[in-house]
Amino acid sequence: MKKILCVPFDPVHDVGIKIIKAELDKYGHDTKLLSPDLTPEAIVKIAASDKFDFILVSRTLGYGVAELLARFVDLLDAAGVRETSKIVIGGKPITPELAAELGFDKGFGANSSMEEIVAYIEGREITLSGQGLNRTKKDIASKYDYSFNNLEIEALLGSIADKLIDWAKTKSSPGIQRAVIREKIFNATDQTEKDSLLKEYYALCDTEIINANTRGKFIKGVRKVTGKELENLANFIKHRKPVDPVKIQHADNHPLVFKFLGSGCPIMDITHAKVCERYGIDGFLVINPSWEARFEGLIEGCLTHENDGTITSFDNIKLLRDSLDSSTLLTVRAHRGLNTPETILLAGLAGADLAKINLVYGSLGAGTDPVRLAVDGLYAIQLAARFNMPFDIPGNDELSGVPAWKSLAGLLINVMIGKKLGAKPILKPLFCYGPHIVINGLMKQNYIDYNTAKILALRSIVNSPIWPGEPIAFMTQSEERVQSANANSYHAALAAGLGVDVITVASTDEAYSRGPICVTSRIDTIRAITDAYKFVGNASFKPTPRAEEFTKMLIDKITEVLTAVEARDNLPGAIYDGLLGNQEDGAYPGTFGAGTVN
Amino acid sequence: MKRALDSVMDAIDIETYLVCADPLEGKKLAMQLGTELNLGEIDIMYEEFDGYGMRVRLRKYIYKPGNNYLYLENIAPEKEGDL
Amino acid sequence: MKSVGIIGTAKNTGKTTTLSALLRSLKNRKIAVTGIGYDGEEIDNITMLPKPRLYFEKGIIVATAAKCILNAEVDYKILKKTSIPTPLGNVFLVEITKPGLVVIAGPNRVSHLKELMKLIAGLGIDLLLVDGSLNRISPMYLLDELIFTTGGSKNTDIKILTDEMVTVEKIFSLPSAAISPDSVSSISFVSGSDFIPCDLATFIDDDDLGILKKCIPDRCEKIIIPLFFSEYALTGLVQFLKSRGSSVAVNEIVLLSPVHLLLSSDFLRLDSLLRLLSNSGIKFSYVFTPRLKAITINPFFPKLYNYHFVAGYLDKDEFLKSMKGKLSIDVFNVKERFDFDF
Repeated sequence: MKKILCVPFDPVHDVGIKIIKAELDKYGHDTKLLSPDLTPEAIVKIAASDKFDFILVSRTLGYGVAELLARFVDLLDAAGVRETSKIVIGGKPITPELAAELGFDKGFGANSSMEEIVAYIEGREITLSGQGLNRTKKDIASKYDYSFNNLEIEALLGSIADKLIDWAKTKSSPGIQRAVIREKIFNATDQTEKDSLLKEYYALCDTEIINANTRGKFIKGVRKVTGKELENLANFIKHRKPVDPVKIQHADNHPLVFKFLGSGCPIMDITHAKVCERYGIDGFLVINPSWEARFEGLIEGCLTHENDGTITSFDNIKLLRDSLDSSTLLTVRAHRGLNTPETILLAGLAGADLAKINLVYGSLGAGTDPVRLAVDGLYAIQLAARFNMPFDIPGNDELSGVPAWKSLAGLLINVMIGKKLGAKPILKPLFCYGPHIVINGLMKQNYIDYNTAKILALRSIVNSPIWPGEPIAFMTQSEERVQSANANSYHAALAAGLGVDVITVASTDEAYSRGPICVTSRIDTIRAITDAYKFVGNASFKPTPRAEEFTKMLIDKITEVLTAVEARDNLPGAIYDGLLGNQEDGAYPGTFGAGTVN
Repeated sequence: MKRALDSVMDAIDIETYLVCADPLEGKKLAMQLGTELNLGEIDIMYEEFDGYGMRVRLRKYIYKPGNNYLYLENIAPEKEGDL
Repeated sequence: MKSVGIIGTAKNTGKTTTLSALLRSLKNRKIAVTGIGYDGEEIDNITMLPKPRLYFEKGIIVATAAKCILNAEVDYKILKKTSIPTPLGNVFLVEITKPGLVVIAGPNRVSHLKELMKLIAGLGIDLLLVDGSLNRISPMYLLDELIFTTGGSKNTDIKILTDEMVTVEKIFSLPSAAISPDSVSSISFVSGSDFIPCDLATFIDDDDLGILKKCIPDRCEKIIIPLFFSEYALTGLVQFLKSRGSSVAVNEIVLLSPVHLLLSSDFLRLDSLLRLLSNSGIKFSYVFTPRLKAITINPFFPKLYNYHFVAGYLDKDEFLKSMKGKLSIDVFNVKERFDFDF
């Protein structure tokens, strides 16, 4: 137990020292709090009359105040108090330099935590700031067993998945073949073997990809990252370390927070990511350029791209993975396009933690032929299982106008396929203000009921991790940053209250489309969410009775959709027929890769 | 021609992120930014150093209480026929 | 080893510039430098205005905090890693091997400065320079000579600044008590060769004064106050002794040092106290008597303009003239070239 004198050296602001006193009392220390109107001499007399281990002084700073504090330190020194008591200053602008200038033994500023103060008082060493994030990597899927509570839906999904797996058994595609070759290239040690494999690989690629890889003739806006640029980045990572890292989660059960990367340039992505990590971001999703999905084959090397989307080459993914803190999760997008199997392979080889796959959305809202994606997707999910990467299933088809129940039915189909193939799927329902919701006035009264219903419906069906996205607050944000930050924080608080596992958050410039995301906008929403988590704690929003009606409605409609899908021969057939989203909804089956499955 | 700066109701805030090695360099860069943008001396309202750089909110007052608010001059449109 | 301290009356009064001038004019001496706070930084921690910096030539011994020396733009040889703590790490004793800028952050209390002085004395140093911090003075009484710095940053009224320094000069001109520092540790009454102690830990307020008054024996020539006191209590004591009239034998009050007298109140009240003393038949004397070496003035002051600080200046000629006219001690303007001689 330490004897501590708490001195509010300020006529007005004595809240801080009162909080510290209360906290120290909790730890069993003997504290004495002075009133804020004493003269320095009177305080010195009290300090000298008893042997205190510490004298804690709190004061806000302005011009002239430094001299007052310095004189106070002098008086304590002259009165011999310093020989028995350590004197400590606390206040928002206090830095170690300022504490030294004022003559104190120690200073605590705006970024100091109560733990730090208590540790100092108790003479314990604590981890110095600036020495890394000091956190461990989280496993999102480990506590779920994918058991179904809704047996009717389980049976329907089982049949759909079995039929699909059976249907695809004899089928292959250039995408799968390239993944097989790519893996052989990766493991080959002999250059002649590599060259001959590459030849096979290029035989399965589009001209644009061959030109880029063999002649350095890149698609417009793409170039190689130079050695100098990589060296500069390496120096940045090596010499700069996070200072006073922040934890976003206020309670242990609060959802992890993911952000997108995909400025086009891996270097910009990484500098942003390092700052975001320090502000507490748990993981990142890499968004690739939309054109990557349309070509057969992938460009190799460490590449930068002037437009939206960072190229998901092995080198780029590896650069990201190696630059991030080991505790930070990385997920790579492969939910659509003609390179799904190969992208998952590269992600796995480069050490990514998760991958993003959705057989339904990828062929509805994102342009890939349903047959091709079904065949590729099944292979990709098997690869994900092999690399022990959980895969997250985005429900972004809602944004094209598909009703939530169709989107959720699609997610559940993916969950069952994942379960059957030994993978670890993650449900990603949207927290959004999508077109179907707007048109039908489902969120006219509030934004809580319908989003809540999606989570409750999924939970009543299957025991699976849930990760609202992608990002939360989609279509509720404007370019005005306060509105945007607020929208994010409210949705995050809702997610926290619902006890979901992860959320993906946008930035306050999410709605701006004429340039990449800025780091300041990223920080904006992270800070907003940190506050939202603190605000909600283990409390939650109380939905109106409509949430229950919505939940029931969603479960009924999901059952209806799955019954219809199950009645078809196979999943692609159901997608072509619009059972999981039709033209009226605003969803069209994709055409990229049509006729390529053999 | 009317100066845009004269029409600022009171102040300009600059919110940005400065890459720097320590808080002192960050503060220095922030002050320098004001000069480089021809705003002269500016205030640092908020700063947070995170190890990679400093998130700052900088402010330059264009009008302070009691100043002559140029944007309030010539508010009324000239009436037709007035000479 | 001679020790010289630089004391500021406020922030930005020219401590760093004075120290730089000292370092410039004492090139061929074996010098060590430390400070009781933090000095030499690039931008003021409070006003955000740029500050003069401290440049050290090869061969100078510097005692500064670990963090400061590790970040310094110099080459150096570590002579000793001391166990003297600062908020920026323990104090390192280093010898500069390639000249450059260093921020000085040294021991911030009396006992630590004492300890460091012992270590430095063992290195065969001629001269130890101790940089102040803000207006801090308490550990400085241990030194041989002191230089005061004052200027526009303390007050923008030249007359007030001058009067303050006149008071400082008066305070430093008071005599030595010829008492060994180790001989007394508590308030004592001296009568002939008898020392009668008084059980008081501080001499600050009416309670302390009341106890002391009651304890004064009938026969007593000297009262020794070798601890912290307030000007309020001291004035009360002088008034009490004065009111007892000429029959009272007390004719000397021994204080620890002029630094302690300066610490006890502001310049204005101290001046009144000295005037009260002048016709009381009582004199003050000190156990420790650091000498006042010079006063340097700095016309600069941070002027609050549009809610932020800009550089402002007092009339330097008028300032210097006013000071020189009223003081017998050397006065220099820090902004102009000047040399010290030790």
